[in-house]
Amino acid sequence: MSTEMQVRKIISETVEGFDGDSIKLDAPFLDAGLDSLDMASVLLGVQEELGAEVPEGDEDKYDTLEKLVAFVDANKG
Amino acid sequence: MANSDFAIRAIGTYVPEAYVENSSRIGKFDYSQDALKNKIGVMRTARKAPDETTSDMCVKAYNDLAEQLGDALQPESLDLVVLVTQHPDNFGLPHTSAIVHGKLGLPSRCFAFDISLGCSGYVSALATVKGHLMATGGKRALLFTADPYSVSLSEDDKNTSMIFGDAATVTLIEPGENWQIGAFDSGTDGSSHKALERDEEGVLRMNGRAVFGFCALNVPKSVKATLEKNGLHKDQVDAFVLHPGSKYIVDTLSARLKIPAPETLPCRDYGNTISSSIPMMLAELDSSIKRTVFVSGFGVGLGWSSCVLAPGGN
Repeated sequence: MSTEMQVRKIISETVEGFDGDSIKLDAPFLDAGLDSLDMASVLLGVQEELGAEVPEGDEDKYDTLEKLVAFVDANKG
Repeated sequence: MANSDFAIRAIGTYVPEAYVENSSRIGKFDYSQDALKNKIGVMRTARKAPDETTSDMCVKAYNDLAEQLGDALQPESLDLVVLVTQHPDNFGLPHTSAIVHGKLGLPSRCFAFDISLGCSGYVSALATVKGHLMATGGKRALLFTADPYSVSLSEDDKNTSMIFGDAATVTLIEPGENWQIGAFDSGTDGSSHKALERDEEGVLRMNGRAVFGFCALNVPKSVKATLEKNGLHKDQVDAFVLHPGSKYIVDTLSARLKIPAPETLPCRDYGNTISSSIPMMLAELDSSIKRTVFVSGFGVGLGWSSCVLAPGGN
């Protein structure tokens, strides 16, 4: 499974009622309807399942699916 | 052999009358009604009066306890008073428990000290009180919690102002048959201490993501370790009383622990009252019914403390 598909799956599983497949790659997560608590869960899911931890304070740097996937690919555990 | 069947006998509580309605400020913080109800879970936050001190709040909780117990409280036979707070009277010197001791006219045989802990404080203090009584041959103690975060938080901070509320509690601990204090699992992640701290101007700041991740990762492990130490399986617990950091944290932990999540937070009408949260929830349970209760507090430090309160003989 590609990293993108894995992250989409994590989004679907951690954000209640949200379809991770519906997010456009370059759309900011907040514009797509995810709030800061949702993102905390998503980033934790990414950390636990993919071994890539976004450093504290750097969340805004990975505010789209495209950027987050690139980060995970560069930092997978 | 030192007495080890110390138990929670009764809990007195105090919640200030003044409060702030969260529905009146969700627009300011760009929250929806749905997010308020299902993620924050707190509808209003209690606020002490500006001139009300931490020791004043403790006395009011004590008065509630005295009303419940009447002559059975027997303050003249108390051996220990402990107060969990990080907002002491008088810049913290003397310790606020001594001020409370004086206000209540407690006997000199009754030793008093403060514990500087936040949301893990009540559970952790149960261990401290039990141990102190066992080490000193004492029999009866009052454990106070009073940590008015309204002193430090900014009402313009969306991360904190809609969650934290003021309250005080006092727990009478003495030998007993029900809600005996069992074995603990506790820990600290000091590398994350900046996630919940006062800034250089003394204003409380919270990194929500860091605190959430800490809770989600550590509390389930602590629950597992605590159950093992107490020789229990999850199904033998009658009630899980987890610190209500927010509805979102409680729901996340409930899902990870595979236990039912509450429909609403017990603290929805006064807020997360730090170390008072758990005793406030325990006070709502009928302590005369023999049941096994799991308690876990987690937060400032960052740290956690979990234990089981169970009928004797378990």
